[in-house]
Amino acid sequence: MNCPGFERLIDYLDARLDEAEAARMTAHLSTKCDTCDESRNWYLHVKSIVESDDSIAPPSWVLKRAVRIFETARRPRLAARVGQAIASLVFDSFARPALVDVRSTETANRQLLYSAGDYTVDLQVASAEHSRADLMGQVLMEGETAFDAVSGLKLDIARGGKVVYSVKTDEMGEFKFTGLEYGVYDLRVELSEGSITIPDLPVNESLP
Amino acid sequence: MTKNALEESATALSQRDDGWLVAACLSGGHAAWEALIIRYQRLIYSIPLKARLSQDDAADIFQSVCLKFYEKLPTIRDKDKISSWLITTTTRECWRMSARNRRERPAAGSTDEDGEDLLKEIPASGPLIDEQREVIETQHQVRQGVDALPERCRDLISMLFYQKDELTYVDIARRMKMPVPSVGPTRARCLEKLKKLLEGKL
Repeated sequence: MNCPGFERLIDYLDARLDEAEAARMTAHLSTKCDTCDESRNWYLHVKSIVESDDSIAPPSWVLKRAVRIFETARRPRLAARVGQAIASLVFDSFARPALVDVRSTETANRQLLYSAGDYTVDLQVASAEHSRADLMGQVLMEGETAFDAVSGLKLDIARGGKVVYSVKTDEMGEFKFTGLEYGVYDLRVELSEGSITIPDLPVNESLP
Repeated sequence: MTKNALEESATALSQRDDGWLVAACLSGGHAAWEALIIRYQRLIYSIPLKARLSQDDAADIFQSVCLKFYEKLPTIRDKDKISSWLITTTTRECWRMSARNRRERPAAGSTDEDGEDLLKEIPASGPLIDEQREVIETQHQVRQGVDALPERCRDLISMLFYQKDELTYVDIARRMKMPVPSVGPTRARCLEKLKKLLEGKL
């Protein structure tokens, strides 16, 4: 039998040939054809590598966060500006004057907005049971064209200088601390280029 | 590097070699950085998982290694050793993370205050041994070879190699929108291209 070629050989190794053709190929390989031997060894080696490959791609938010390193790292002035920043309060829904003669039967969650450098932290305090409240929020970074959610950041919430809970932002840059006792807390957001602290954050009951 | 070169498509960038992508990154090419991270994402992310660290730890390690990789770009001398450097760096990060986890959540009988004994125990119970490093590197080489194939070939070989269920030629022909008799010859041509790409690398 003449050398049947690479395509037939691969079909043979993958058991895609019919019985008669496979028998002819077996007979040919027993003649020690150097070309076929070399191709067979290469293909079986590659196949064994592929079959052992159980690697996993990271979730898309992990990948996106790493891709963002390039943009963040190329803005040294921003990085320097963030450093160990104290965020400033931009908006507090409880600080708005109540509308005259308007009554509501619903409770209103407190909404707060802080900023530091190109980062914005959007917070909402919602009363829960037994003098406790949930603190929800989102961390955003001002991108070239819009605000981008910042995923995978660690947030520590501390009371009296002691960290009470730690959470991480999800792929949308959102986070939630559940069942915090009423009180005043410090919220710290860890960034690759420093940290942002929101001091004296009031976590207490909603407006009746 | 010209502006046009920095604006190549993701497909074109996936076929560039590491040296070209590093040079493009240093010239300000964001897409080249993305192509590098996509190329090495499985290699980096899988190491902490193989070391039995959690997905959260793996995500943190991924970010930390990518940051170190970015900082390393200007001083990378041997562009063929990037995968090796990444494996080493990721393994070290796994060590650090394992040590930190053990300090924070010490197991019974492993409560050494300064952590020295804990660090000594890690190789036996966690991060990577040399044979695993070699396996990971060759798996990466094959994936990189497949990614560097022309688009049709890449799709076909990925389907044949990395699809969990074994596909018949009829299934492949339907997915690739090609006649069934063309599958075998096309596959053979693509594998021959892959063989050339992987020459001297395995």
